[in-house]
Amino acid sequence: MPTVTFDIDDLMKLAGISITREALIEILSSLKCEAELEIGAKMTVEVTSDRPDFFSCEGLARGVRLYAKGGKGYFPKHSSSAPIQLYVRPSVSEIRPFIVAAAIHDVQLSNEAMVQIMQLQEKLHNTYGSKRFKASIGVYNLDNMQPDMIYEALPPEDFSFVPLEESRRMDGREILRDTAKGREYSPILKSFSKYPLLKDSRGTVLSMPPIINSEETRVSETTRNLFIDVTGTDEKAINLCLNVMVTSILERSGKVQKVEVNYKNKKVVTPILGKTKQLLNLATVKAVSGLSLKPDQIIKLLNRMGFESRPASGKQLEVTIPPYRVDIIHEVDLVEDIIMAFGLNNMHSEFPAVASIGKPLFGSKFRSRVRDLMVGMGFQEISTYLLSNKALEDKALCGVTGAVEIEKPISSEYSAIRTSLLPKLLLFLGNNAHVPYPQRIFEYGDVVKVVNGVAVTSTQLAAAISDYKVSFEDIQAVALSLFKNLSKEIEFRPIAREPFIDGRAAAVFIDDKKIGSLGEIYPRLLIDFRIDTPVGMMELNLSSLLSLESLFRG
Amino acid sequence: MSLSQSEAQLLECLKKLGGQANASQLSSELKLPESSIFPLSNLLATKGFVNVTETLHENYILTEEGVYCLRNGLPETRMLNFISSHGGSVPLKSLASVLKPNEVSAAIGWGRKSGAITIEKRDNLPNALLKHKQKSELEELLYKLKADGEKSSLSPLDQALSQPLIERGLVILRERTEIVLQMIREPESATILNALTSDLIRSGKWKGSILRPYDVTASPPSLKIGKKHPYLQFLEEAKEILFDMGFEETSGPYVENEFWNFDALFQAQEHPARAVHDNFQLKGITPIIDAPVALIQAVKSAHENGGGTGSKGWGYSWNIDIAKRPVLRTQTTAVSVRSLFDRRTPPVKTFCLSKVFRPDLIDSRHMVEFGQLDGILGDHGINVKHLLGILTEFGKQLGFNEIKFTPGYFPFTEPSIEAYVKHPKLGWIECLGSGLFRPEVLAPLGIKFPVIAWGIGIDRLAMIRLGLDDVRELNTLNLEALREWRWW
Repeated sequence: MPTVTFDIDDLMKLAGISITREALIEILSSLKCEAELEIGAKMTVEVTSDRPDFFSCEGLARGVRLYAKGGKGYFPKHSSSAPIQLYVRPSVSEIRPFIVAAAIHDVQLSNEAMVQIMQLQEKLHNTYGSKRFKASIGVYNLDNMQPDMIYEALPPEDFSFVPLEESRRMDGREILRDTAKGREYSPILKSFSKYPLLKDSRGTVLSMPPIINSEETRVSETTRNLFIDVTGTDEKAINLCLNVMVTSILERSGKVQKVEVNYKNKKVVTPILGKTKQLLNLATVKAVSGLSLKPDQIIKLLNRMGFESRPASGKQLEVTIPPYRVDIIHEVDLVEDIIMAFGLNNMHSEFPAVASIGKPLFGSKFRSRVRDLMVGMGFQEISTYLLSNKALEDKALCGVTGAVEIEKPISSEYSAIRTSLLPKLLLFLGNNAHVPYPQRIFEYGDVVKVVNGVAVTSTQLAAAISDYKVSFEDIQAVALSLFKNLSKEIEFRPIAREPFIDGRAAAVFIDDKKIGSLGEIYPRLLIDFRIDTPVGMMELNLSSLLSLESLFRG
Repeated sequence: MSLSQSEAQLLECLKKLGGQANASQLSSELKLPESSIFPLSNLLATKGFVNVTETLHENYILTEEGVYCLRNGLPETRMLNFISSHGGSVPLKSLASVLKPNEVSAAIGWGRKSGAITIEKRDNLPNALLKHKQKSELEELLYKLKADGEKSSLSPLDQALSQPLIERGLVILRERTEIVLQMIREPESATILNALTSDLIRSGKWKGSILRPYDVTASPPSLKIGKKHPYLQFLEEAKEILFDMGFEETSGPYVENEFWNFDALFQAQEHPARAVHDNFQLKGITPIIDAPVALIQAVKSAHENGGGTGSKGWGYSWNIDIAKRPVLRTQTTAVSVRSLFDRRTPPVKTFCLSKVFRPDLIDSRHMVEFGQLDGILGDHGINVKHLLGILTEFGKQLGFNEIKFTPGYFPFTEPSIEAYVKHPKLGWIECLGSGLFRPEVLAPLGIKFPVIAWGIGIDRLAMIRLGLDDVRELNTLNLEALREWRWW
């Protein structure tokens, strides 16, 4: 979940309230924002990814203001100027086809406001923008631009400009190669022969989306008029980003001027700050929340969350959704807001009177019996991760096949799922070579193997005895006693294979079916695992025996 | 009355010595210092096996000087012999050849007093003249004291005579307390055994033996006992609570496809809601969705346009190939939604407690594999109040009597609620995530009743319960830690 840092006084001022920090934290918590950190005048909150309007101080302040004082709908200020024209050339259609834009006049930007704009831009890029791939936001000083604007793509060597933070003109290739942002986002453009550009009527390059803006259009505290564009591959995402940017900036100051985006075959006027309507059934409110609320109570609660609503019929309300609330896609989303306004801790809880029978998983009782028997035979239970790695499995099993492998592991230690418990037991013993003997350990757990492209899980039991002297019979006796107590005939047949010593290994058969093997571990392997005492070990697949758990067996 | 090994040995020795012996006899017989005999005697006297009598002994002991005189004669004897062998008169000075300087005055004093010699001047020198040779009575007494110095066996005369010997430093009188033990009761058993054996029991020999007592206050060796794993035991106990609350346990595959892990949970492909957490993609697994075509279609339309649920949906083109991709299960909610689809008739009350996998930087608080508990409850008429009721009850059963709620966000529930429980030492701990499944989740599955879903990062609670501060210790490779671990 994204975190947002803001200046507490700035937020209070924007919200038009003066409350204690505790009261502020309480309100934020009611709005799903969890205070994480307070350093001096700054506070950091964790916000939820469904509320991009909370990705900066402005939106948070609006939320806090409405929650504390209620509101009467959303009315952004519009400038009287005619829309700016923006022309989209077909050359971008295969690269980065869509652009939306807006201008904001008469802004007053404090240092804190600049910080918040940058934070908002970054949070939107990393979430809805898919790291600038789907949507990338540019903020410009409109006074240094000469409309009309042109959005087109050119070969990288055919243009040059001074990028932000740089002191010389660079062409497209140089920007990708020599600037920090260029290197970071170059994978988005690298494969194309042309790079997208925003230019003005003079032919001046204003930016190279989604990489960098020009130094010339840099925004500072003295900037009075802003231009904002969002380019990308997903129209929904770019509109969302533009709306959140514009509505947030407007919380401080300014009037919005529209931009007409002219494609070859269509024209779009942005930002689309239209208000959508959502019908809310009173029955849904009751069914979901369990609260018996009258329509006017619901209207008041919705007001505290920034929604204007009115009765649409005896059974419904018509709720107006402000353009920054991108999370409202169903009436239940409004019910949540009603509950938030009501206060979860003001609600009564009720244990549901649903008659049902609690029941453990099939195999649980069998598992419990086997574990009891192993403990009874003096074995310490161990619990290891399912995640393992091929090197460990290979080493212990003398070659492993059918392991489920992770494509991009975080750590080489955890890069596959175990196919057997034995490697983990050897690892465990090797890790405890200095601990008093005898060591008797067991694990009851799952392993996964790929069979014909399908991952098959089986439930296994593995046990090991390590002491100054351990014989084949010591571990064989464990298997025998275990199955005697499970009323199962067990049969041992000689096998000759690693990791066991020749002549000291047996396959274990139950009902004429092989379920595993046991024996004395080959000394070379013990050395590999830094174990210097003999080890008797067994591993059995118990999946087919789980049905033994039924209380009455025929 | 029980006897220690040493007590029994002493009694046995006493018996051998005829039922009565003093400490020094016992000491040499038992090869024990006399100082050990005294406390044992007292213990045996307390237990009624012996009478102990203490006697004060005074003994005359010859000093080094005394032993010298015994061998060479007393000074007076040597003086008389010397004078006699030199013609009955010698100059006093020459006595130095047979007397040590400190003996001269004692010898002359005795000689004059007894009248054996006189001192006269000859040639202007003092000479000793022998009058009559006689034996010193002290000579005999010295022999007697050497043979038996016990004061009580000397006649009063001898006792008086020994006084000059003491004064002359030839003899000293030493006092000594001696104890004498007299057996008054024999111990029941004379045989001391280290262990009771089946032979002894069968033969009846145990009746005549005593077992060597242990020092019961000393520590025995510690046992390496078999124990169940504490983390797994904690999980078992959490499950017990859910069984008691009427929940049925379910399970599902670790290797999931994105369809059940994300799409069926209305987590849009390539949307921040899906990236709430990252996932592990896998190699070597055939991409496939194990679900009926109708369900896949219904999920597709829910994503694209709400699928007739009254929702707008996510408004994008749903890609079945993404849904087919095999992943390691990132949430046990994937199991819950499978169980819901398998059952479909209310009430549905299930839970899954198992492992989930998420890429994360591994540290003391994060591991790429961890335990998650996910429960669902679906029935007609279920609402948020019941959700709060379930969470409150589960918290209580875990031992947390205070619980508070805040709104939260999960892509598949609306409303979404997080719960905090109050720990006596740690304060409020974020414990549960929950909500009512969204209509876009339920409708494609064909579920026509509301369903509560709630989940717990169970490892966090396990760490608190087990007193660990590193999540990786839940799966420790440290045998000593497991051997030493205890519940209380």
